[in-house]
Amino acid sequence: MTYLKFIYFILPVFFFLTDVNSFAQTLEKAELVRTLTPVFGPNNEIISRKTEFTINCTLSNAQIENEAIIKDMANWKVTAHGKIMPLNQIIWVPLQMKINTVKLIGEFKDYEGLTIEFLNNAVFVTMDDQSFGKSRWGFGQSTSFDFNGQRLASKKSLFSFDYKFDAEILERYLMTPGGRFWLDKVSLNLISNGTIANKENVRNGVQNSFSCSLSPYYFMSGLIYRGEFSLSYQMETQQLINSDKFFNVINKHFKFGMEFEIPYTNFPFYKLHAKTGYARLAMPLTMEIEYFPKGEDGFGNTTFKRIDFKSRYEMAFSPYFIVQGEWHAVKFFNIPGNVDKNAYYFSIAFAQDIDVSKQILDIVRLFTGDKFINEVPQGKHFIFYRISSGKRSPAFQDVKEHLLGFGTYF
Amino acid sequence: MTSIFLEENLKKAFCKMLSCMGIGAAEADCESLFHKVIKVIVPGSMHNDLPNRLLSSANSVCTKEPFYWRVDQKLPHIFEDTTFQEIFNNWFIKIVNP
Repeated sequence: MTYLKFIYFILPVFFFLTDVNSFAQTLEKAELVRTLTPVFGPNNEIISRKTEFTINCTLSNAQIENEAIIKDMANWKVTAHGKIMPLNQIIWVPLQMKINTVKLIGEFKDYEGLTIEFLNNAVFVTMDDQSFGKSRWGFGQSTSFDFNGQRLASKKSLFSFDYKFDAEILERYLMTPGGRFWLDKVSLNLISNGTIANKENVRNGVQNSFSCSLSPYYFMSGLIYRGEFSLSYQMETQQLINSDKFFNVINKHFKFGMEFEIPYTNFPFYKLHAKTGYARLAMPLTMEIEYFPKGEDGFGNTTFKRIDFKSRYEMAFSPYFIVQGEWHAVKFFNIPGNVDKNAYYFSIAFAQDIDVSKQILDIVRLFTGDKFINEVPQGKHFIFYRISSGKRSPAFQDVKEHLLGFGTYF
Repeated sequence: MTSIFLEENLKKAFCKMLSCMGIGAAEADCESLFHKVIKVIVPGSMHNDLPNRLLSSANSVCTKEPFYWRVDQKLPHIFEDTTFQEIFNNWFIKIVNP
């Protein structure tokens, strides 16, 4: 009887336990990615960087004692349309947070039909559409929609909403890994921005454009800055004083735009934040120049050439005292008579970061203790007061405003 | 030749990457950043290209001295309440390799 017990119970358990290691790591999925790799010279100095395709494999339950199995190239087989692809290197780091990830280096190409096999488990290799450097189609990806409701403190019955909608309909990444300069991408965008307000405000105006833009990044003294160059076709609308229509087409034209961040201008606040520990990204002075050649309005009349100049800067002293300023200048060319050829606008905003949810959670903490509260994600909100004055496109109405706003961004 | 791939070095590289972005606090005491929410502490006008900035900074920092690591070209997914800790765990550690 004891002998039979051994056969029926003990032996299967023994085989199960001894076999656990071979089942411990099972290939779950594999993904082809572009990887930036340093290239070394004969004296082990870095001479350049190259982009290569690598495969990231996810195993289940990889264990340190199975290192030899995981790193053995004979246990891996990569095929493309039935042809075996040579493997050059297997990278596996038994770090707790990466233990289930194995990287395979080889001469892989960006094509479909790649299959990978590990210890008789085979999976298809996928490629993430969000991979940097991959051209992709998409509508709605990278779309932003900022919606701010603002009440005019001086005229209590009036409301206005500023919005910006930016949809990237096609983008092609052009990653050129230089030492200091990165050409990021070319994209086609549909952009709409403007103000929608009470009719009495006479501030209604929107700009809708179809734009092709190029975005480089560059490094100066260890800090990253961004630029953007764009060519657009734009339609501007405006609420005319004697018109019932909110949106009259006042200009249809091409636009050449250039936006760039001025290096070193964020350095003082970068250093201040290093001292105070405040984690907000120190914003550099941002300048935008747009040139509009002659266009035409909705009635077929020729419109004037103009240049728009916009600048923006922020001084974030602490979470409770952020000051942001904007200054716009517009110059029209060849306007006859005594019509004002220039328009100016400025705004200055004072913001406070109010962590509303934290205040509420602090009260809850009194009843539940720290352990529960630490597991709850905490958000932040901003309340701001903005003073603005002058004329800005596309409405070009002379306004003086004191606004009180609330939002999740600032 | 590459820096030893330890969690300590990963954190060091992560903090250096953040300081490249202009987050000065990363220079002084990076550890204290880890539980802070990232998106709302970036100026509104810089939200949209935040993933690109992060990856470009990671490329710049991690492929150079003293790390010399490989960097997968994958953008981070950043939401309203994403913390630096989540960026570190869910993205940074996954894209860098010795």
